[in-house]
Amino acid sequence: MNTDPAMTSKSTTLSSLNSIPTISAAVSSSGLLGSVASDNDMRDGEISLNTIEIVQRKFKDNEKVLSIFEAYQIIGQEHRSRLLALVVSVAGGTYAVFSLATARLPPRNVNDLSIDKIFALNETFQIGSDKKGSISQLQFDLKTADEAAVKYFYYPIISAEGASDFETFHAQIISAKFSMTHSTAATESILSYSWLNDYRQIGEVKQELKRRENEYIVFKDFIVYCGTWNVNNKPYSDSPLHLWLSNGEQPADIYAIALQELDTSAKAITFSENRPDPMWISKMLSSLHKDGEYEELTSVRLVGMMLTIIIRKQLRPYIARCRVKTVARGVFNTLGNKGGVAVSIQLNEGNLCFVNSHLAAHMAFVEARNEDYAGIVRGLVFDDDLKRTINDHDHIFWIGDLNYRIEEPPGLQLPCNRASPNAYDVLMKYDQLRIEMGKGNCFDGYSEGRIKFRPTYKYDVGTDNFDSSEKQRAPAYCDRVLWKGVRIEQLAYNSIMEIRQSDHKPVYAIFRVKIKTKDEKRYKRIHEEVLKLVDKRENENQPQISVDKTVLDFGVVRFNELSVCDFTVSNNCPMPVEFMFKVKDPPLNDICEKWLQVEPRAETLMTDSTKRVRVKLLADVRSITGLLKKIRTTNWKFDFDILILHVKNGPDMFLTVTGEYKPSCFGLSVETLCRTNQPLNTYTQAQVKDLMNDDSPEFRVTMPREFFFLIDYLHKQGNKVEGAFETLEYKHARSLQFNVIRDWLDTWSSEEFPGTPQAAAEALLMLLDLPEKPLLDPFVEDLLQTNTAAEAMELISLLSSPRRNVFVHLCMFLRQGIERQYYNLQHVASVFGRILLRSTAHAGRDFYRETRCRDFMHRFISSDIGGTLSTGIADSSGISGVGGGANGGSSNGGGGGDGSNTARINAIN
Amino acid sequence: MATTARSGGNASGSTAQRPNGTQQNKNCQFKLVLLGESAVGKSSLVLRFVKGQFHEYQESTIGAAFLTQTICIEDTVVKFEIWDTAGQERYHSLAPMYYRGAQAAIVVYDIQNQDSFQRAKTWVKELHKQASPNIVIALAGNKADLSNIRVVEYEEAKQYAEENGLLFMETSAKTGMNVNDIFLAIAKKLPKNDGAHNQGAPAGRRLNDNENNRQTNNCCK
Repeated sequence: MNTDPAMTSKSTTLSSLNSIPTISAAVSSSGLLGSVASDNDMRDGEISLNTIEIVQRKFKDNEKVLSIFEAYQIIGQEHRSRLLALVVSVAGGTYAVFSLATARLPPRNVNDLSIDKIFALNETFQIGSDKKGSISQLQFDLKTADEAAVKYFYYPIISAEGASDFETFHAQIISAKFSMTHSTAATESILSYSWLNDYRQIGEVKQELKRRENEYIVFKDFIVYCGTWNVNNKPYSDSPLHLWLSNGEQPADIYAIALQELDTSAKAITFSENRPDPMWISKMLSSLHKDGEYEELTSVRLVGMMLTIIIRKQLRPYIARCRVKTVARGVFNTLGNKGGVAVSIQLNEGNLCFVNSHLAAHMAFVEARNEDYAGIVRGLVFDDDLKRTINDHDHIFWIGDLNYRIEEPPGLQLPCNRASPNAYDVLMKYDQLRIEMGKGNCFDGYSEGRIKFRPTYKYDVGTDNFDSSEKQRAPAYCDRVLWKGVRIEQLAYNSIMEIRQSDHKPVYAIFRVKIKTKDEKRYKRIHEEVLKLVDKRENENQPQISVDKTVLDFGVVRFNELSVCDFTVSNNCPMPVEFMFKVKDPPLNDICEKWLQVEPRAETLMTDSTKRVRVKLLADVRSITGLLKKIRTTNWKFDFDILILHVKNGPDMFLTVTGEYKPSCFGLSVETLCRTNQPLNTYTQAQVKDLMNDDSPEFRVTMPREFFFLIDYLHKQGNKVEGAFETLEYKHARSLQFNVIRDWLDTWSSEEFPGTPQAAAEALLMLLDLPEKPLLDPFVEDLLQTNTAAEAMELISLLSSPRRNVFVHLCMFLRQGIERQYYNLQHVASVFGRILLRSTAHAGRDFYRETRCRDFMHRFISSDIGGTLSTGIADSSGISGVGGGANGGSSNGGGGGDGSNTARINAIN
Repeated sequence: MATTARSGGNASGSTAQRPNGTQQNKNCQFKLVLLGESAVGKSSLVLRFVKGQFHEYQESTIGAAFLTQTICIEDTVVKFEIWDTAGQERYHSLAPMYYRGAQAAIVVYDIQNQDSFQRAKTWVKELHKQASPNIVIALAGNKADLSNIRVVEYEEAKQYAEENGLLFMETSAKTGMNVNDIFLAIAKKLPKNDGAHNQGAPAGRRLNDNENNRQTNNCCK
């Protein structure tokens, strides 16, 4: 991390900045920015707020937006508009930079803003730039320990009213951070960042509810009873616990009972005994205030320390969260003979934390105790949604054998045994804990009630006499109850002298805690308001685009001819919009039909920009089959397709692709072609649709004229057909010249064939290949099972007459060509095998199947079909002798026309 | 505040508190699709429900509009993701993309138009055949403000709805009559347990397919 150019000016900025936004100054005087609206202003209607005032509405009353800055967050290739806001919390005494996503710039109202990232201005906060990857001097990044580095860039021009320029904003951040980290008055540990958690709540609804908390939160009293006792390895059965746990006028709502030295045997220490002791717990449960019904909520144990939380039964449904955690601070900080155990709970809307700790022993080890305290604070992170630490709670109770001693000044006899309360005040002057707290060395921010009881350590077991053993340990207040947080009132703090089983006396403290609670009626109302608001925000901020047309009319669409239609997508809304075409359901699995191409398929449009989308329509060898099938099967008015233009996070638009398909012979079945009585170019799409759906056995000709014209032409070419029928590549179809051939066929032209024999051969293949069903349908699979041409012939004779006629004549034509060595038998068998016996089940190539198709064709063409077939179909010389006359009527029997048609056909040509 | 007073003291312990929101409240999200012939008032119903507005001349929907609306019933927050689809017949083939994964559908007809009622019946048939089996279907006879020139009798539609297990109401987007009610009735009928909701997680659900750390409000634990 190098220093940003702006960072280099840090020293000057800092020294010149006497306007450091110290917390009190920033809040008490709006002079720093001048534009921070007062609370009253903000509660008023929508009277033209400037941007900083709008941003302020995102925060609570005691959180002030000090400065805002416009930037763009860099996410991969994209830039997202952001407002950065420097915010101070009066309650927490801390600052943070919020990164807000904004639906438009400048934002129109608070609904346009949503909090995206939060950078606490703690010691891990950094602002700087990485020169290596930087394309611009106007780039910087922000990071903290909690938030990975985020890159931003900015324009030197400000559009939002009240926004700062970069230098000012940067200097304010640096000085805010400086004021916190270098303040002599405040040490880091009492600065709280917990206010930020409200904004880390997931979801806009929760964030908004948190923000409006003061409108529905009431404070409800709960009695919290904390007890601590070092039991000195004594068994539970001996102890009259009720003397310790049933105090107080009214039954407590929550008990937090802390024990130490439950079992400090080497075994328990070595194996980090962590199973709560059920005997102790049941003894506790039977010793509580008799006016309450209780149940154990949870217990947590680490070797000698156990913390048990007991609640009144009826509170159970109001405990939203309960987590436990232990921290070992014994030998090498790993053994659990010393350390802390803790429980975190959420009761209604309040967060409570209970800590039971057993800190380092012995008079001299004050620093070790302080370190244990600090170690527990550091190490105690609950495994909850926000990874709460002890200080992230509203109400904290720290109880336990803290082991701080009374340091008797030389020559002074302290009044440990005296019964006067003032005597204890004297003792407290020499109490290590109070001394260390006073110095700020431990338990920052904690409070403790006045002690009006004798030191709780160390007694001869079974008596109320201080240690009379050889060691003569000095009496001390080892066992304490401290608290930290808001709305806590201590009602009692005492020890129980009558419990004599241990060398410590048990201690208890009773508190009244006012816990945040929802007023259900008000909450319900505000909750509904917030939901409506979020809905409104979502609906209103939905990205919108417009298109200049919703119908893409391609006019006349012809086979093998590319048509193009463009439309324009515009983004008139105040944010960048991503649009894309939606992939449709299977079997299509694509955004459009095969005969369409859309470019681009997805795009991001910046505000006020437009994009031309090009749709190409091409019904060619790849797509004509599907197109004709769709025409045949569409009940409603035929559309080439409907594109779904989807706006990310927004609506879908339908774009209808229409036009009129100009029929051609390609792709139509031989039956359909045999039903025509005029050239195909005279038909309309609708008429062809009717022809395709006509399943009567009546045909106008015995075989399609278009087929006949091609065979006839090729026949006349003799040996000038080199290369014909060798591949299925359809390379001629890609040239414009091919469409002249198409027209020649579709007009029954009497002109010379307008192409080469090779092109005619390809057209013939296409004529047979492009229909939905292969020529030998429906007997393809059965035919592949036959072994001889004669066997196959029986099936062939069952085909519809156009199919049968076309097949037989094709074979005869090919056979003749092969005999005269115009064509190669292997190639012909292979190519026609693939076409005529095409599988309707599989789309891909199946080489094994292709071999069987080839073998079938090979067998059939080589056999003496002239003899096998019924006589009169053709003579050996005259293939031209077949074909239906234009007005030849039906000839569905027998197969084939007769010689008399020859003249007719020739006349057509 | 009455509530405050009631919950002010805890110690007596006899007052049973109402469960507090965070735990007991459930958030459910449902995809709802509107189907029906062109110009029966689908978009107007949505507009009335979501924004409380009515436009005499509502543009014909060419596409599918998306809006969200949340309602609270008892302790459950029900968020509807509403897909308002184009009614024109030419777009019929696209409808499955919208009703697939929907937990609820409102099939709308116009009480002045017998054809639209017949069309509604075919939609119901199609939904029963092709939509998710647990889909809650409501039949809405819209334009009820014009009931003096109705051609579809209330009893006829009601009987049809009963025979086919549909919720039924006559609605008026213009006056607002029964508009909230029909959505509310659907929300009540929808299963609110976690399982039922998650299983329906629709392909068309689009909440927050962009931004950062916002999260879909699934049923919370």
